[in-house]
Amino acid sequence: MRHKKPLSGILVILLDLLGIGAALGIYALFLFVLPSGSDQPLKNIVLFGATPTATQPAETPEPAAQANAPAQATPAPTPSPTPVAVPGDFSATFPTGELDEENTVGTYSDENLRVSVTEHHTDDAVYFVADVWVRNIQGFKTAFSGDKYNGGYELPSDTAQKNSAVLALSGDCYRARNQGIVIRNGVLYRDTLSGDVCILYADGTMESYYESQFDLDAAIARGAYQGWSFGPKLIDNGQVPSSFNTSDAIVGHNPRAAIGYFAPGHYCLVYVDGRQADYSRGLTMQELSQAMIDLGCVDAYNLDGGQSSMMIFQGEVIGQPYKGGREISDIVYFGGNDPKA
Amino acid sequence: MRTFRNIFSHLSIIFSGMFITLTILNQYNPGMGFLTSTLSMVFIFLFCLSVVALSVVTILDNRRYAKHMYQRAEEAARWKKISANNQKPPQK
Repeated sequence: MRHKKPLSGILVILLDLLGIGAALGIYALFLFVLPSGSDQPLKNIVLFGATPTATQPAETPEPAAQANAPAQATPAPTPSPTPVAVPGDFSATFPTGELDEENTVGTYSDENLRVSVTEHHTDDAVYFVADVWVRNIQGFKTAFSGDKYNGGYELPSDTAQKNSAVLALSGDCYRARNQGIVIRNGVLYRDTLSGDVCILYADGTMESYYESQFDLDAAIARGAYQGWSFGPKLIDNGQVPSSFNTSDAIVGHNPRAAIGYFAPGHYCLVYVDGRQADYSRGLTMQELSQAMIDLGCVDAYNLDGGQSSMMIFQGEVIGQPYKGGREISDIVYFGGNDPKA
Repeated sequence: MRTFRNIFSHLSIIFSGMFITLTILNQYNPGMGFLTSTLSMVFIFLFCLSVVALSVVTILDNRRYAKHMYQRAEEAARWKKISANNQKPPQK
């Protein structure tokens, strides 16, 4: 048997390291570069334009006095129908009047949307709060990079510009994972769980759930309109949660993006600058949770933060995103060309 | 056999290195699903296969070596016995 001279030890180690690098490269290629899965939706959950069955006004009961009236009495005039709020239509609560522009970074208002962006400071962080009112739930929109599900990655500012957004915030970057609920504009795209979930229902309510407590079928039956998977859930029964369903590395000081809910039709988007020692270190998860409670949010949910987080208002990037931000797969936005926006 | 053992050893080192890296990354951002994605499951399965193959090949190789050593010991003992018989003084 012929024996070959063995390779030197250093060369063997280098070749193994090269192999590890190649394996990681293949992993990243399949996970982040090549399209993962189908771009077809799984199910339409909410269809706008269909006659709402749940909102048909019940037959007006006859007043008790009328039942006792003599038969020959003059028939009472037909009562005018009482306006019934259609789920997702917040005209009754949509504020009117001029927006107070004092101490704001900027404001926007039209007949369907009101936005007021303010800047807030803590000892070592700067964050921005966009207070948003929409007249109709269809004004609360999300968009994919590349204009379709699994369509790739874009800077949030580019996606916002494509959709003519008045206000936009980086989303949950669903494409970075193969799991996690994805419901966008009434369509279910992914039905697997990964971490805490936040659902915006078509009636305007928003609820965040711990992963173990979320029931997708119930959410679909209730009319889930938007659904995000990143988390964690930021408010637990009006309090800062005792622990967050995420890693220790994430709960520290970081740039952040979060959604808050006050009431149907009234929301806030929060963007936190961070990782810039001489300007803003960012907020810890606990500080963010407390900030959302202080703002008056009933529920709040953390979206993809770090370098991914970015807020855009009327075409301008707000604050100083860490390293100028990065390309991600989706945004939350308001405004745009849709007449309901 | 030795070639297979070499291949599976290096494959195991490569997969181990990969998962050490992914575990560290996962500590910083578990939301990315570095250890829970479908692709990670595929790599974990391949890692398991390579470790099982390495173990089987190593066990077989060790058994063969042990058998070989046993045979050599047996043979040595036999030769020792033969040579001891040959060295006995002739009987009167």
